Amino acid sequence: MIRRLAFKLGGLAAAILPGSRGAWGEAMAAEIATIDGDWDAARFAAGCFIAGLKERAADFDTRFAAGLWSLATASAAFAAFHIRNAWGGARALLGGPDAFYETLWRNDPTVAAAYRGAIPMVASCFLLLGLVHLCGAYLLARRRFRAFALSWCAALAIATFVVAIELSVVWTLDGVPSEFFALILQSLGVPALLLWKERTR
Amino acid sequence: MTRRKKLSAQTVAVLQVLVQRPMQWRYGYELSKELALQSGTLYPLLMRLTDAGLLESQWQPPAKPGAPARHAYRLTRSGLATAHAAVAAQFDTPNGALPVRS
Repeated sequence: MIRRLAFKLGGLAAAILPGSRGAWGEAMAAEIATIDGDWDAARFAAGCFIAGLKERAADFDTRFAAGLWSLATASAAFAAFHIRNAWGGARALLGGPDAFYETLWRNDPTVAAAYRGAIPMVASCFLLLGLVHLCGAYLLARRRFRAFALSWCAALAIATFVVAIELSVVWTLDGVPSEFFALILQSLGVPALLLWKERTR
Repeated sequence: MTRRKKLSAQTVAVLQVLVQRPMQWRYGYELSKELALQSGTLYPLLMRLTDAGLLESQWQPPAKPGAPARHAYRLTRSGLATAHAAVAAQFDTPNGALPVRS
C-alpha cells in the first residue's frame, strides 16, 4: 500500500515536471524503485513530487501560460460585466426598474427621453462589446495574437462609439469610462508578456 | 563582464560531497541520505548544476537483475573547479585546499 503510494507520487512528479525535464522524472522513478523501506520510498517520492512542483513553477512556458490565462480570465470577467449591462438595458426597455432614468426624469425630462431613446443602441453595443471581449479572451488563451489584436481594435471602436453615445445624452465624464478598463488592461498586459517572452528567450 | 551568482549553502554542500570522490558516480537517494537533504530540495539543485554544466549524468545499468537502471551523477571538470572554489571560500582555506574530514 505505502509502496504503491510511493510509485504513484513518483509518477505524479514525472507528470508534473516540464517536458524538458522528462529524463529527471524517469531518474526519480528509478530511485524510488531501488529504495528498500516502504516509508523511506514514500518520503523520497513525496520530495520528488515537491521537486516536480518547484520545477513546474519555475518553468518559463508555464509562467507565460499562467500570465496569458490570467489576462484571458480578466477579459472574460469584463465581457460578463458588459453583457450584464446589456441585459440591464434590455430589462429597462421591457419595463424593468431603472434608477438612473428615474433620476434624470426628476431633473430634466428631455434628457431622460433622450436617454431612453439611446438605450437600444447602447445595450446592443454593450452586448457586442461583451462578445468581442469573450472572443478576445478565447484568442488570448489560444495564443492567436494577431487575431486578438484585431478583436482589440474592434472592441476599442465599439467602446469609443458607446461612450460617444452616452456622452451625447449626458455630458458628464467621471474618470475613465468602464468600457475602456479591459482594453487598458489588455494593452498593458499582452505587450508586457510578449516583451518578457522575447527577452527571456 | 560576467556576473557570478552566489551559491546557496545547500549547493555548496552537494558540491562538497561530490568533490570528495570526484570520479565516482553517485545516486540521488544516496546523496539525499548523505546530505540529509529532502529529495524535493536535492533534485532541483541537481537539475540546476547539470544545466550549468557543473554536473554530468548517466544512466547506470542495474546492480541486480530485474532492477531498474539508475541515474547517476558526478562533477564535470568545471564542476570540480567550482566545487573546489566554493568549498575553499566556505571554509576560507588557503589555495583552495579542502578541509579534511575526521
